[in-house]
Amino acid sequence: MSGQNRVANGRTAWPQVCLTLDPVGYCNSRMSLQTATMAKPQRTAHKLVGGRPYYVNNLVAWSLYALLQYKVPPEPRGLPVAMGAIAWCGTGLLGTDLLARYADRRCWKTISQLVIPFAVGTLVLSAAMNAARAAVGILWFHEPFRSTHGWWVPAHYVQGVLVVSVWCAVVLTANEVNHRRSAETEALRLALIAQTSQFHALRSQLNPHFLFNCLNSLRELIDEDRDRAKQVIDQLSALLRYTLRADRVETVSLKEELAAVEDYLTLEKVRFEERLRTRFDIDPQSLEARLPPMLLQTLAENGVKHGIARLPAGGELVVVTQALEGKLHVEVTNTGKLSDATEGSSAVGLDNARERLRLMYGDSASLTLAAADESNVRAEVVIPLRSNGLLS
Amino acid sequence: MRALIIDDERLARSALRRLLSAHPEVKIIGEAANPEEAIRAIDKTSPDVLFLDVEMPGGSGFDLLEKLEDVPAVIFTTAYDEYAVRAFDVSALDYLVKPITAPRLAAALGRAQKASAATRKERSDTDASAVHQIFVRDGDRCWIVRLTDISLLESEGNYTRLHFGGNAPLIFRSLTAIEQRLGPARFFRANRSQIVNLGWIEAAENDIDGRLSIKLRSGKQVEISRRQSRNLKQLLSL
Repeated sequence: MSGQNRVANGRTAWPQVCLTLDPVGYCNSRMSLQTATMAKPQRTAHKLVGGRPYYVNNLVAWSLYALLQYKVPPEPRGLPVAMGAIAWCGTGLLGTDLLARYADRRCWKTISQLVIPFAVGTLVLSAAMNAARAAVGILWFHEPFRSTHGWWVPAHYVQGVLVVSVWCAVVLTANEVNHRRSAETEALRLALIAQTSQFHALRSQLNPHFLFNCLNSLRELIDEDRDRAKQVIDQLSALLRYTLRADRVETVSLKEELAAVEDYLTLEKVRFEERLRTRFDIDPQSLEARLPPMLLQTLAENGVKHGIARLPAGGELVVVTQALEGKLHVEVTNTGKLSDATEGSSAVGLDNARERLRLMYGDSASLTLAAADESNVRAEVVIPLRSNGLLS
Repeated sequence: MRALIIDDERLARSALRRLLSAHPEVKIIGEAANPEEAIRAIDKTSPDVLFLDVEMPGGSGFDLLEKLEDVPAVIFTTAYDEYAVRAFDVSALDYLVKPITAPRLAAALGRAQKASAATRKERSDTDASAVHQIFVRDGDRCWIVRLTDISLLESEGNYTRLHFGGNAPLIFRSLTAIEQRLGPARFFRANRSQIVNLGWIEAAENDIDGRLSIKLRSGKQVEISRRQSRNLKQLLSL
């Protein structure tokens, strides 16, 4: 059926989107966002016929109605009454099914499109139900052509119209409820996909600007100091490897992150030489704490880029870590002005880091940036030590 | 060609120095590690070409250019993507992305040499001390503009609008303040709010009341004030 093909085609789009929920798809976060927006829920054609509930409910409802038809008339009931009830309800069952199939074939989208076919269908069907019952009585049981079987009798005809109308109302309501529920599920699913993609887009990567400056220094260092150049290559490789790994894991230990930060700062010292001075004050208790990869590196890079790099005389960058009352405290303090640290790209980088923390820890983690004194800026991150990360 | 290297990183400066050693026509007359040092060096040595790092402590390369009276030829050096810098500036001589490669440097030097030869010729034609090109910044866009390319300057309150090559940026400087830098040989005060480049005048015609109306090669029409009409007639010996 063409209708079913359409649905099937619609569904083939989904597996691609589902892939983005898979860790393998992490690297394609931008693409998955696109796919997610492309796959916005559209108002597709409704389907009335199909699914077990439709058949079961229909059959049960019409059977009960047939029973009622049999039980309600006064004694003696006998076979003719029973067959009459079956004819009446059987015609109703088949007729309404045909009506529903007809609606589906017209690919209806809103109920207003169904008003005319359903109205006409109801009027015709009621007449058919009356005719069927009359025919069974007259042809099978040779009953006299009594007025009670007459399909033209207004009371019976109205009853048929009412029954079919109720059927239409019930089916359409059920359909609408289902449709809304699945649209809601779809919306939730898309929101989840969008959030996951966003989370991966927020991962900070090594700044290409840093990388090229580093390579430029390295190029000169090869002529000037070969041993130092080799050392720089080793550290740069370690840092690059770390950032690639950061794409694949949710959290790292502070020890690993600190090693990467040390590599990073050593590389920056090649560029800035005596203008960049660093100091580490590490609480051994904090080394095994988990945190999102590249978080501390982002803070250190901000401190260098927006603080020390702007000062002709350079400055000092201090990293302090502490495990305190079930929380990991990390502070990065650098020489510089708060106004420089909160403008443009720095603000974006910090907002991204903050958003990452929010997605992972909700409200139990924080990132603040403030002036430590008139010539220093301090970024402080607090993360719960025993993380029940939302995404991990 | 006398060059000044401006970069905050020692290694970057010596890398460039090493690369330039293959070009004997370039004489490195100095190095500067920040804009402040650079301005002092430029005032003292007036180099033909600047190798200018875009990002530096104490102000960007653009901030530096803004402070210069006369802007020499500029070759930007940057670790940023070339296209990111191109968005800033449409008329710098060239960009060298770091790490700088020898062939790219050679190409940039070729262009710089042509430009500085043209400048030298222009200098000998006009007053040697006159301003040759200026740096203009309007929002995110920057230009290094040769004065000969500016056809018209218009006052807009405390700002001045410059017209050159299809651009008309607004700069925060009064017309009077700019006039002092322009030198009278090439520019003429048309009226209270406009200064025209004499080299851009295409036609001049007398109005009924004795005032001049001139047409610039850019298509703009400028009315000359009564007093200045007399001066302009003398100047153009009409």
